[in-house]
Amino acid sequence: MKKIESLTPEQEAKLDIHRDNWLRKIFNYELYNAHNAEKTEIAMKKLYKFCGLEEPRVMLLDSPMACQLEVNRLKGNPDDKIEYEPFSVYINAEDIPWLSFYGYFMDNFDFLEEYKNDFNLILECVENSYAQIQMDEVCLVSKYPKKIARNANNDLHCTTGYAIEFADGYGQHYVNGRFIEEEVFNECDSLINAKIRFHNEENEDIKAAIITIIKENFGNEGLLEMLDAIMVDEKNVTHKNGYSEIIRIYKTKTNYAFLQNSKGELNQPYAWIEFTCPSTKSVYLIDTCPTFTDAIECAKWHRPSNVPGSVDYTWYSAN
Amino acid sequence: MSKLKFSNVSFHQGDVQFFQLKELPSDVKKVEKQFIAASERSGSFHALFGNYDIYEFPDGGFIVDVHDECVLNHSLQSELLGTKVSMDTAVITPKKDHRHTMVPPGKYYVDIQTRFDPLENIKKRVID
Repeated sequence: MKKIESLTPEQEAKLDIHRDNWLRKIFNYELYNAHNAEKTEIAMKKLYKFCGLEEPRVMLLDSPMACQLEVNRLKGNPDDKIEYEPFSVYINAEDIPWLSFYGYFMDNFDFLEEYKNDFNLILECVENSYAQIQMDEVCLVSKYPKKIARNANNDLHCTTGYAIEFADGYGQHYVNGRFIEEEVFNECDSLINAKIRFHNEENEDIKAAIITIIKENFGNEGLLEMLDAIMVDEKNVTHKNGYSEIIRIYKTKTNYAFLQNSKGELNQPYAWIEFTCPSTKSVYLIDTCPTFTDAIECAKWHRPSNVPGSVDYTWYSAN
Repeated sequence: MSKLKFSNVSFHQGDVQFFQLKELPSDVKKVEKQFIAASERSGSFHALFGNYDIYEFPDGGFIVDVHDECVLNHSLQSELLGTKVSMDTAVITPKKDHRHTMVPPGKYYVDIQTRFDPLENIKKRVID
Protein backbone atom coordinates (compact mmCIF):
# COMPACT_ATOMS: atom_id res chain seq x y z
CA MET A 1 0.00 0.00 0.00
CA LYS A 2 1.18 3.51 -0.82
CA LYS A 3 2.10 5.78 2.07
CA ILE A 4 1.14 9.44 1.86
CA GLU A 5 3.83 11.73 3.27
CA SER A 6 2.05 15.04 2.67
CA LEU A 7 -1.01 16.62 1.09
CA THR A 8 -0.95 19.00 -1.88
CA PRO A 9 -2.51 22.46 -1.35
CA GLU A 10 -5.51 21.29 -3.42
CA GLN A 11 -5.94 18.22 -1.22
CA GLU A 12 -5.61 20.33 1.94
CA ALA A 13 -8.26 22.73 0.63
CA LYS A 14 -10.71 19.84 0.40
CA LEU A 15 -10.32 18.98 4.11
CA ASP A 16 -12.61 21.76 5.37
CA ILE A 17 -15.27 20.90 2.80
CA HIS A 18 -15.07 17.23 3.75
CA ARG A 19 -15.31 18.05 7.48
CA ASP A 20 -18.28 20.37 6.97
CA ASN A 21 -20.11 17.73 4.92
CA TRP A 22 -19.78 15.29 7.81
CA LEU A 23 -20.77 17.82 10.46
CA ARG A 24 -23.90 18.69 8.47
CA LYS A 25 -24.97 15.05 8.58
CA ILE A 26 -25.33 15.28 12.35
CA PHE A 27 -25.74 18.90 13.32
CA ASN A 28 -27.95 19.93 10.36
CA TYR A 29 -29.90 16.70 10.90
CA GLU A 30 -29.33 15.33 7.40
CA LEU A 31 -29.15 11.77 8.74
CA TYR A 32 -32.21 12.28 10.94
CA ASN A 33 -34.26 13.67 8.07
CA ALA A 34 -33.18 10.93 5.65
CA HIS A 35 -33.73 8.05 8.05
CA ASN A 36 -36.48 5.64 7.08
CA ALA A 37 -37.41 2.05 7.88
CA GLU A 38 -36.89 0.72 4.36
CA LYS A 39 -33.30 1.95 3.99
CA THR A 40 -32.50 0.81 7.53
CA GLU A 41 -33.81 -2.69 6.91
CA ILE A 42 -31.81 -3.06 3.69
CA ALA A 43 -28.60 -1.85 5.40
CA MET A 44 -28.92 -4.07 8.49
CA LYS A 45 -29.75 -7.17 6.48
CA LYS A 46 -26.62 -6.57 4.40
CA LEU A 47 -24.63 -6.17 7.64
CA TYR A 48 -25.89 -9.47 9.12
CA LYS A 49 -25.18 -11.23 5.81
CA PHE A 50 -21.66 -9.75 5.74
CA CYS A 51 -21.13 -11.23 9.22
CA GLY A 52 -22.47 -14.63 8.11
CA LEU A 53 -25.63 -14.35 10.21
CA GLU A 54 -29.27 -15.04 9.45
CA GLU A 55 -31.33 -12.10 8.25
CA PRO A 56 -32.82 -10.32 11.28
CA ARG A 57 -36.13 -8.61 11.73
CA VAL A 58 -35.16 -4.93 11.70
CA MET A 59 -37.06 -2.44 13.83
CA LEU A 60 -36.38 1.28 13.44
CA LEU A 61 -37.26 3.09 16.67
CA ASP A 62 -37.28 6.76 17.58
CA SER A 63 -34.64 6.82 20.29
CA PRO A 64 -32.10 4.78 22.26
CA MET A 65 -34.63 4.71 25.11
CA ALA A 66 -37.26 3.25 22.78
CA CYS A 67 -34.73 0.50 21.88
CA GLN A 68 -34.24 -0.29 25.58
CA LEU A 69 -37.98 -0.50 26.22
CA GLU A 70 -38.52 -2.66 23.15
CA VAL A 71 -35.73 -5.13 23.97
CA ASN A 72 -37.16 -5.54 27.45
CA ARG A 73 -40.63 -6.11 25.98
CA LEU A 74 -39.20 -8.75 23.63
CA LYS A 75 -37.47 -10.47 26.55
CA GLY A 76 -40.73 -10.45 28.49
CA ASN A 77 -39.36 -8.30 31.32
CA PRO A 78 -42.17 -6.68 33.33
CA ASP A 79 -42.30 -2.87 33.39
CA ASP A 80 -40.97 -2.73 36.94
CA LYS A 81 -37.95 -4.90 36.10
CA ILE A 82 -36.48 -3.11 33.10
CA GLU A 83 -32.83 -4.08 32.52
CA TYR A 84 -30.24 -2.16 30.55
CA GLU A 85 -29.20 -3.98 27.38
CA PRO A 86 -25.85 -2.81 25.99
CA PHE A 87 -25.84 -1.17 22.59
CA SER A 88 -23.50 -2.57 19.96
CA VAL A 89 -19.94 -1.29 20.07
CA TYR A 90 -19.83 -0.76 16.30
CA ILE A 91 -22.34 0.54 13.73
CA ASN A 92 -23.44 3.67 15.52
CA ALA A 93 -22.71 7.39 15.67
CA GLU A 94 -19.39 6.74 17.44
CA ASP A 95 -18.04 5.28 14.19
CA ILE A 96 -18.37 8.65 12.48
CA PRO A 97 -14.90 9.99 13.45
CA TRP A 98 -13.01 7.10 11.81
CA LEU A 99 -15.43 6.86 8.89
CA SER A 100 -14.99 10.54 8.11
CA PHE A 101 -11.20 10.17 8.34
CA TYR A 102 -10.99 7.22 5.95
CA GLY A 103 -13.81 8.69 3.84
CA TYR A 104 -11.54 11.58 2.93
CA PHE A 105 -8.94 9.20 1.52
CA MET A 106 -11.59 7.06 -0.16
CA ASP A 107 -12.91 10.14 -1.92
CA ASN A 108 -9.61 11.69 -2.93
CA PHE A 109 -7.15 8.83 -3.48
CA ASP A 110 -7.29 5.48 -5.22
CA PHE A 111 -5.04 3.35 -3.02
CA LEU A 112 -7.88 2.16 -0.73
CA GLU A 113 -9.93 0.93 -3.69
CA GLU A 114 -9.86 -2.72 -2.55
CA TYR A 115 -11.65 -1.75 0.70
CA LYS A 116 -14.24 0.49 -0.94
CA ASN A 117 -17.15 -1.98 -0.99
CA ASP A 118 -16.73 -2.97 2.65
CA PHE A 119 -16.26 0.65 3.63
CA ASN A 120 -19.41 1.70 1.82
CA LEU A 121 -21.37 -1.08 3.54
CA ILE A 122 -20.29 0.15 6.99
CA LEU A 123 -20.99 3.73 5.94
CA GLU A 124 -24.49 2.81 4.75
CA CYS A 125 -25.17 1.03 8.07
CA VAL A 126 -23.88 3.87 10.26
CA GLU A 127 -25.79 6.49 8.29
CA ASN A 128 -28.91 4.48 9.13
CA SER A 129 -28.20 3.79 12.80
CA TYR A 130 -27.53 6.25 15.61
CA ALA A 131 -27.29 3.27 17.99
CA GLN A 132 -28.45 -0.30 17.83
CA ILE A 133 -28.99 -3.50 19.77
CA GLN A 134 -27.96 -6.50 17.69
CA MET A 135 -29.50 -9.88 18.54
CA ASP A 136 -29.78 -13.19 16.71
CA GLU A 137 -33.19 -12.61 15.22
CA VAL A 138 -33.88 -8.96 15.79
CA CYS A 139 -31.92 -5.78 15.20
CA LEU A 140 -33.27 -2.73 17.05
CA VAL A 141 -32.08 0.54 15.54
CA SER A 142 -32.41 4.06 16.95
CA LYS A 143 -32.90 7.09 14.75
CA TYR A 144 -30.48 10.01 14.99
CA PRO A 145 -31.44 12.87 17.33
CA LYS A 146 -33.73 15.55 16.00
CA LYS A 147 -32.14 18.28 18.13
CA ILE A 148 -28.58 18.87 19.35
CA ALA A 149 -27.74 22.10 21.17
CA ARG A 150 -24.16 23.12 21.92
CA ASN A 151 -22.20 25.99 23.46
CA ALA A 152 -19.34 27.98 21.93
CA ASN A 153 -16.93 25.14 22.86
CA ASN A 154 -19.11 22.70 20.90
CA ASP A 155 -20.02 20.92 24.14
CA LEU A 156 -23.61 19.75 24.56
CA HIS A 157 -25.41 22.61 26.26
CA CYS A 158 -28.94 23.89 26.67
CA THR A 159 -30.45 25.70 29.66
CA THR A 160 -34.01 25.88 28.31
CA GLY A 161 -34.64 22.24 27.40
CA TYR A 162 -32.93 19.06 26.30
CA ALA A 163 -29.47 19.45 24.77
CA ILE A 164 -30.08 16.27 22.79
CA GLU A 165 -33.59 15.18 21.86
CA PHE A 166 -35.09 12.37 19.82
CA ALA A 167 -38.24 12.02 17.73
CA ASP A 168 -40.29 10.44 20.52
CA GLY A 169 -39.50 13.26 22.96
CA TYR A 170 -36.81 11.36 24.89
CA GLY A 171 -33.87 13.60 25.64
CA GLN A 172 -31.04 14.38 28.00
CA HIS A 173 -29.93 17.58 29.67
CA TYR A 174 -26.36 18.84 29.45
CA VAL A 175 -24.90 22.07 30.75
CA ASN A 176 -21.49 23.01 29.34
CA GLY A 177 -20.92 19.38 28.35
CA ARG A 178 -21.93 17.83 31.65
CA PHE A 179 -24.91 15.52 31.96
CA ILE A 180 -27.52 16.85 34.38
CA GLU A 181 -30.31 14.73 35.80
CA GLU A 182 -33.82 15.75 34.74
CA GLU A 183 -34.82 16.35 38.37
CA VAL A 184 -32.05 18.91 38.91
CA PHE A 185 -32.81 20.64 35.61
CA ASN A 186 -36.52 20.92 36.38
CA GLU A 187 -35.83 22.36 39.81
CA CYS A 188 -34.19 25.32 38.06
CA ASP A 189 -37.57 26.33 36.65
CA SER A 190 -38.10 28.46 39.73
CA LEU A 191 -35.67 30.51 41.79
CA ILE A 192 -37.08 29.12 45.03
CA ASN A 193 -36.63 25.47 44.05
CA ALA A 194 -33.20 26.21 42.58
CA LYS A 195 -32.17 27.91 45.82
CA ILE A 196 -33.18 24.89 47.93
CA ARG A 197 -31.35 22.49 45.61
CA PHE A 198 -28.27 24.71 45.48
CA HIS A 199 -28.03 24.90 49.26
CA ASN A 200 -28.51 21.14 49.69
CA GLU A 201 -26.16 20.09 46.89
CA GLU A 202 -22.55 19.11 47.69
CA ASN A 203 -21.33 18.37 44.17
CA GLU A 204 -19.65 21.47 42.72
CA ASP A 205 -20.34 20.48 39.10
CA ILE A 206 -24.07 20.21 39.78
CA LYS A 207 -24.01 23.50 41.67
CA ALA A 208 -22.19 25.08 38.70
CA ALA A 209 -24.88 23.78 36.37
CA ILE A 210 -27.59 25.33 38.56
CA ILE A 211 -25.76 28.67 38.51
CA THR A 212 -25.39 28.53 34.73
CA ILE A 213 -29.06 27.69 34.17
CA ILE A 214 -30.20 30.48 36.50
CA LYS A 215 -27.78 33.03 34.99
CA GLU A 216 -28.81 32.22 31.42
CA ASN A 217 -32.54 32.18 32.15
CA PHE A 218 -32.91 34.83 34.86
CA GLY A 219 -29.75 36.97 34.43
CA ASN A 220 -27.36 38.09 37.16
CA GLU A 221 -30.27 39.73 38.98
CA GLY A 222 -31.98 36.33 39.10
CA LEU A 223 -28.84 34.74 40.46
CA LEU A 224 -28.53 37.30 43.24
CA GLU A 225 -32.24 36.94 43.96
CA MET A 226 -31.90 33.17 44.13
CA LEU A 227 -29.04 33.52 46.56
CA ASP A 228 -30.64 36.51 48.34
CA ALA A 229 -27.18 38.00 47.99
CA ILE A 230 -25.17 41.10 47.19
CA MET A 231 -21.81 41.27 45.48
CA VAL A 232 -19.06 42.22 47.95
CA ASP A 233 -16.07 42.51 45.59
CA GLU A 234 -15.07 41.89 41.99
CA LYS A 235 -11.48 41.61 40.72
CA ASN A 236 -10.11 41.07 37.25
CA VAL A 237 -6.88 39.03 37.39
CA THR A 238 -4.57 38.66 34.41
CA HIS A 239 -2.55 35.49 34.75
CA LYS A 240 1.00 34.87 33.54
CA ASN A 241 -0.15 33.14 30.35
CA GLY A 242 -2.30 36.17 29.44
CA TYR A 243 -5.58 34.53 30.43
CA SER A 244 -7.76 36.88 32.43
CA GLU A 245 -10.29 35.88 35.05
CA ILE A 246 -13.01 37.74 36.92
CA ILE A 247 -13.40 36.67 40.54
CA ARG A 248 -16.33 37.84 42.62
CA ILE A 249 -17.44 37.35 46.20
CA TYR A 250 -21.05 37.44 47.31
CA LYS A 251 -22.84 37.17 50.61
CA THR A 252 -26.46 36.94 51.66
CA LYS A 253 -28.23 40.01 52.99
CA THR A 254 -29.44 37.93 55.92
CA ASN A 255 -27.38 36.44 58.74
CA TYR A 256 -28.18 32.95 59.97
CA ALA A 257 -27.78 31.90 63.61
CA PHE A 258 -26.32 28.51 62.68
CA LEU A 259 -23.62 29.71 60.27
CA GLN A 260 -20.03 30.33 61.33
CA ASN A 261 -17.10 32.25 59.95
CA SER A 262 -13.60 30.80 59.99
CA LYS A 263 -13.07 32.19 63.51
CA GLY A 264 -16.00 30.13 64.77
CA GLU A 265 -18.27 33.13 65.29
CA LEU A 266 -21.96 32.32 64.80
CA ASN A 267 -24.78 34.37 63.20
CA GLN A 268 -23.05 34.84 59.84
CA PRO A 269 -24.31 35.25 56.24
CA TYR A 270 -23.76 32.65 53.55
CA ALA A 271 -20.88 33.70 51.30
CA TRP A 272 -19.51 32.46 47.99
CA ILE A 273 -16.55 33.08 45.74
CA GLU A 274 -17.21 32.91 42.00
CA PHE A 275 -14.71 31.34 39.62
CA THR A 276 -15.17 30.63 35.91
CA CYS A 277 -13.60 27.46 34.53
CA PRO A 278 -11.27 28.45 31.66
CA SER A 279 -11.99 25.21 29.78
CA THR A 280 -15.74 24.77 30.12
CA LYS A 281 -16.71 28.38 30.99
CA SER A 282 -18.85 26.94 33.78
CA VAL A 283 -19.33 29.37 36.66
CA TYR A 284 -18.64 27.94 40.10
CA LEU A 285 -19.82 29.48 43.36
CA ILE A 286 -17.73 27.95 46.10
CA ASP A 287 -18.83 28.36 49.72
CA THR A 288 -16.46 30.73 51.46
CA CYS A 289 -15.88 32.53 54.74
CA PRO A 290 -18.05 35.68 54.94
CA THR A 291 -15.29 37.85 56.43
CA PHE A 292 -13.50 38.37 53.11
CA THR A 293 -13.84 41.74 51.41
CA ASP A 294 -11.10 41.22 48.78
CA ALA A 295 -11.78 38.65 46.07
CA ILE A 296 -8.08 37.89 45.42
CA GLU A 297 -7.32 37.27 49.08
CA CYS A 298 -10.35 35.04 49.19
CA ALA A 299 -9.24 33.13 46.07
CA LYS A 300 -5.82 32.56 47.66
CA TRP A 301 -7.49 31.20 50.79
CA HIS A 302 -9.31 28.55 48.71
CA ARG A 303 -6.05 27.06 47.46
CA PRO A 304 -4.93 23.88 49.24
CA SER A 305 -4.30 24.55 52.91
CA ASN A 306 -0.51 24.12 52.67
CA VAL A 307 -0.13 27.03 50.23
CA PRO A 308 0.61 30.28 52.07
CA GLY A 309 -0.93 33.63 51.11
CA SER A 310 2.52 34.90 50.10
CA VAL A 311 2.38 32.77 46.93
CA ASP A 312 0.99 34.88 44.04
CA TYR A 313 -2.50 34.25 42.74
CA THR A 314 -1.40 34.17 39.11
CA TRP A 315 -1.46 30.94 37.15
CA TYR A 316 1.14 30.03 34.55
CA SER A 317 -1.45 27.78 32.96
CA ALA A 318 -5.18 27.36 33.62
CA ASN A 319 -7.25 24.67 31.94
CA MET B 1 3.77 27.70 58.92
CA SER B 2 4.09 25.45 55.89
CA LYS B 3 7.28 23.41 55.64
CA LEU B 4 7.08 23.57 51.86
CA LYS B 5 9.24 26.09 50.01
CA PHE B 6 7.28 27.54 47.11
CA SER B 7 8.67 29.22 44.00
CA ASN B 8 5.61 31.26 42.84
CA VAL B 9 5.01 29.08 39.75
CA SER B 10 1.57 27.50 39.80
CA PHE B 11 -1.06 26.16 37.44
CA HIS B 12 -4.37 24.38 37.64
CA GLN B 13 -6.57 22.01 35.74
CA GLY B 14 -10.08 22.40 37.11
CA ASP B 15 -9.92 21.91 40.86
CA VAL B 16 -6.49 20.23 40.75
CA GLN B 17 -3.76 22.75 41.55
CA PHE B 18 0.03 22.45 41.11
CA PHE B 19 2.52 24.63 43.00
CA GLN B 20 6.21 24.42 42.14
CA LEU B 21 8.61 23.83 45.02
CA LYS B 22 12.23 24.87 45.43
CA GLU B 23 13.12 21.48 46.87
CA LEU B 24 11.68 18.07 47.64
CA PRO B 25 10.49 17.92 51.28
CA SER B 26 12.25 15.28 53.36
CA ASP B 27 9.27 13.73 55.17
CA VAL B 28 7.44 12.31 52.18
CA LYS B 29 6.78 8.70 51.23
CA LYS B 30 7.01 7.50 47.64
CA VAL B 31 3.84 5.77 46.44
CA GLU B 32 2.60 4.03 43.29
CA LYS B 33 1.41 6.26 40.47
CA GLN B 34 -2.27 6.94 40.86
CA PHE B 35 -5.03 9.34 39.89
CA ILE B 36 -4.54 12.70 41.57
CA ALA B 37 -8.31 13.07 41.73
CA ALA B 38 -11.26 11.05 40.47
CA SER B 39 -14.96 11.79 40.27
CA GLU B 40 -17.29 8.98 41.25
CA ARG B 41 -20.25 10.78 39.68
CA SER B 42 -18.79 11.44 36.24
CA GLY B 43 -16.19 8.65 36.09
CA SER B 44 -13.51 11.19 35.22
CA PHE B 45 -9.98 11.53 36.60
CA HIS B 46 -7.06 13.95 36.73
CA ALA B 47 -3.76 12.12 36.36
CA LEU B 48 -0.17 12.83 35.41
CA PHE B 49 1.33 10.77 32.58
CA GLY B 50 5.06 10.44 32.00
CA ASN B 51 8.38 10.14 33.77
CA TYR B 52 7.86 11.30 37.35
CA ASP B 53 7.79 10.07 40.94
CA ILE B 54 4.87 10.71 43.26
CA TYR B 55 4.94 11.00 47.04
CA GLU B 56 2.21 11.25 49.65
CA PHE B 57 2.37 14.48 51.61
CA PRO B 58 1.63 13.97 55.34
CA ASP B 59 -0.87 16.87 55.50
CA GLY B 60 -2.74 15.61 52.43
CA GLY B 61 -2.17 15.97 48.72
CA PHE B 62 0.89 14.79 46.81
CA ILE B 63 4.38 15.86 45.93
CA VAL B 64 5.41 15.04 42.38
CA ASP B 65 8.96 15.07 41.08
CA VAL B 66 8.69 15.50 37.31
CA HIS B 67 11.86 14.29 35.57
CA ASP B 68 10.84 14.88 31.93
CA GLU B 69 7.93 16.93 30.59
CA CYS B 70 4.69 15.16 31.60
CA VAL B 71 1.05 15.49 30.60
CA LEU B 72 -1.71 16.22 33.09
CA ASN B 73 -4.90 14.75 31.63
CA HIS B 74 -8.55 15.02 32.55
CA SER B 75 -10.32 12.05 30.96
CA LEU B 76 -12.92 9.40 31.54
CA GLN B 77 -11.71 6.21 33.23
CA SER B 78 -13.71 4.28 30.63
CA GLU B 79 -11.44 5.73 27.91
CA LEU B 80 -8.50 3.80 29.38
CA LEU B 81 -10.25 0.45 29.69
CA GLY B 82 -8.87 -2.14 27.31
CA THR B 83 -6.08 0.17 26.15
CA LYS B 84 -2.40 -0.24 26.90
CA VAL B 85 -2.03 3.39 27.92
CA SER B 86 0.26 3.63 30.94
CA MET B 87 0.84 6.50 33.33
CA ASP B 88 4.57 5.94 32.66
CA THR B 89 4.23 7.46 29.19
CA ALA B 90 3.65 11.15 28.47
CA VAL B 91 0.55 10.72 26.30
CA ILE B 92 -2.47 12.95 25.80
CA THR B 93 -5.66 11.03 26.56
CA PRO B 94 -9.13 12.02 25.27
CA LYS B 95 -10.32 15.20 27.02
CA LYS B 96 -13.30 15.04 29.37
CA ASP B 97 -13.85 18.66 30.43
CA HIS B 98 -10.44 20.23 30.89
CA ARG B 99 -7.71 20.58 28.30
CA HIS B 100 -4.48 18.68 28.96
CA THR B 101 -1.62 20.57 30.62
CA MET B 102 2.07 20.10 29.81
CA VAL B 103 3.98 19.94 33.10
CA PRO B 104 7.66 20.95 32.88
CA PRO B 105 10.33 19.15 34.93
CA GLY B 106 10.39 20.24 38.58
CA LYS B 107 9.03 19.43 41.99
CA TYR B 108 5.43 20.28 42.76
CA TYR B 109 2.97 20.23 45.59
CA VAL B 110 -0.38 19.03 44.21
CA ASP B 111 -3.76 19.18 45.88
CA ILE B 112 -7.40 20.06 45.36
CA GLN B 113 -9.07 23.46 45.66
CA THR B 114 -10.95 23.91 48.92
CA ARG B 115 -14.36 25.15 50.00
CA PHE B 116 -15.43 26.46 53.39
CA ASP B 117 -18.18 24.67 55.28
CA PRO B 118 -19.88 27.37 57.37
CA LEU B 119 -21.87 24.80 59.36
CA GLU B 120 -18.77 23.02 60.63
CA ASN B 121 -16.23 25.85 60.31
CA ILE B 122 -13.76 23.73 58.36
CA LYS B 123 -12.20 23.82 54.93
CA LYS B 124 -12.81 20.75 52.76
CA ARG B 125 -11.62 19.69 49.35
CA VAL B 126 -14.22 20.49 46.71
CA ILE B 127 -16.18 17.53 45.34
CA ASP B 128 -17.19 17.03 41.72
